[in-house]
Amino acid sequence: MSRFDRQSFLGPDSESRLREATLGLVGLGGGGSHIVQQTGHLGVGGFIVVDPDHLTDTNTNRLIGGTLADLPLATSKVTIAERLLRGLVEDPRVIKRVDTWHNVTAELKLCDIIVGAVDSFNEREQLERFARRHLIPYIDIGMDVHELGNKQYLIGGQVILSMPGCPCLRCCGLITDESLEEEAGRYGAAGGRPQVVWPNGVLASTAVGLIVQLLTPWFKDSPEFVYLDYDGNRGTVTPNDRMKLLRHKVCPHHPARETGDPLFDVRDFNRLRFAKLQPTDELAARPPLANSWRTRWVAIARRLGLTR
Amino acid sequence: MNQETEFAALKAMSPLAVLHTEGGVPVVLLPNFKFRAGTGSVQMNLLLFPSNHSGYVTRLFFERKLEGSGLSQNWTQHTVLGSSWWAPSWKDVSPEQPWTSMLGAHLRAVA
Amino acid sequence: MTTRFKITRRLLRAIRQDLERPHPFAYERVGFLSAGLSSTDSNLLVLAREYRPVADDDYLHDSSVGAMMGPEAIRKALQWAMAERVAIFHVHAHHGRGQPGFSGVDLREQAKFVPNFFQIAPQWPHGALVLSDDSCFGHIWLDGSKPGDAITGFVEVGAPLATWSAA
Repeated sequence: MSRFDRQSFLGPDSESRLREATLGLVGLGGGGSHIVQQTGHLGVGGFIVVDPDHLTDTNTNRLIGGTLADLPLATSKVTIAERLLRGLVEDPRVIKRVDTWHNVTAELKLCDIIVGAVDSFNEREQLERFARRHLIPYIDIGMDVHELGNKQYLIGGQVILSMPGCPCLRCCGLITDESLEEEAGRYGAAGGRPQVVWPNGVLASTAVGLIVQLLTPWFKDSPEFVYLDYDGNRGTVTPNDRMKLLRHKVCPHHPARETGDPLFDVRDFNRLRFAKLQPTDELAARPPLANSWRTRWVAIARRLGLTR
Repeated sequence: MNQETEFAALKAMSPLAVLHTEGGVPVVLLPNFKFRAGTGSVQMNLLLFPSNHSGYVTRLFFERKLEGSGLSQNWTQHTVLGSSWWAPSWKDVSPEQPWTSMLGAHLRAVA
Repeated sequence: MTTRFKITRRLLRAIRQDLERPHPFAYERVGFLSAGLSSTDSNLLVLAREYRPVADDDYLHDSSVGAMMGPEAIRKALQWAMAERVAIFHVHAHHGRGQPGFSGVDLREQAKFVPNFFQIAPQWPHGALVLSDDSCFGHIWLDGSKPGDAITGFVEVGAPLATWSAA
């Protein structure tokens, strides 16, 4: 018996797949906090949680896990996320950073999936590009409340799965040079945009469904490009037309030849790697060889106490 | 504007220059580039992006943020070519000019 | 050190389909795969980019082995590494399921041609991969003077993600 028995339909090894996975969550506000909670419940084992902010009173209407007691403490959003996870996951692997994701790329590049719940088009584009360079599926969520006039409002949002090779946020029309220019003209100030808990919940839950489709084999023939529109007035989540129109399109905005770090040099990597080894441990200082006799000798020597 | 010609001109200025691409468009890395900033001389890696980026028609990225009086204060952090860079808010440096002039126009933001 | 090799499902499928094609006289087909690299501490990420099959005319007649590349095949791959500043991995397939392994012939030939890539592209690692019907194994050379290490793990990027580790 396992506490995950009720989700065993996800596949016979789903528990270990979820446990071994590492999610990168950039933005732990209204959307990201829901995702932390749900993926914790699912049993995902590894998390890189990144957000530079702490909880303020205007977040408490929607930030999952944040409490009024956190306000005087100015608890960081990533600390709230970690607290949630440690209450739901046995020995979670959590790296939390109160920082912008630009300073956490060394950790994020090792993630299996990155989720962006950020406010800015520019941040979305750069985060997606970073994910593409490292062949990491990227899931983007966002919501907005639009004033229609006459005190009427429209709640809208989207969830997009941006899979390497498949259509991207630019292919979807979500990111355009015009939207970036308009945002830059405001110096990126999002201001106090309307935000409420339930649309965030719908979008985050939809994103978590995509995460599970990426990590477990429960849904045969899962689509690799997903673009879903949320209409908060009608209460619907529906495929955007582009999902059908673009499904076979190879993305031109992220060429395959741009994977990896163009500034990488294996000679620097070798130098740094060997510089970290203990100079007095002669056997350990030798680079590993494909020949198994060397590996066996090191293991035997250690058992006999001939070396540390 | 011919990319090879423009890059060759930059390379004549900075022999260590390397041409990369991001999103299929050229990006020029200028390693250890020396330039005037404020009242002194600075040397660091620069990245010239001669097309649209983050809402600007062209952009110059710096390895480090430059602080000090007289220097543009609106610096933002970016990830380009997989690494972290900084850029001041310096608009309207036209893409329709030689890359060498473009570089000079961007460096006026920190001069 | 851990090495994680990542490749999209689409590309891996295309490689498998190409390697299945019959050749006029060779028993097997071979090709080359380019990759970008990224690293953090002692973790290396190899990120597959593009596959190019060895042209039909670039095989040598040698009935003692499954396939033998001629010097032109290697020259083209070397040219690719230099012109596009990429890591290059030789690829071929063995039939069957489960983790494949290199044969004695594979290892002997790799030891001859892989170090050559460091003469013209020393800033990148290079290596070799062998595919089975459902898995993959490989060696990565970090410099031309030492034999390659086994690649620690593979990730096939698609929905769902598929991962497997070198035993």
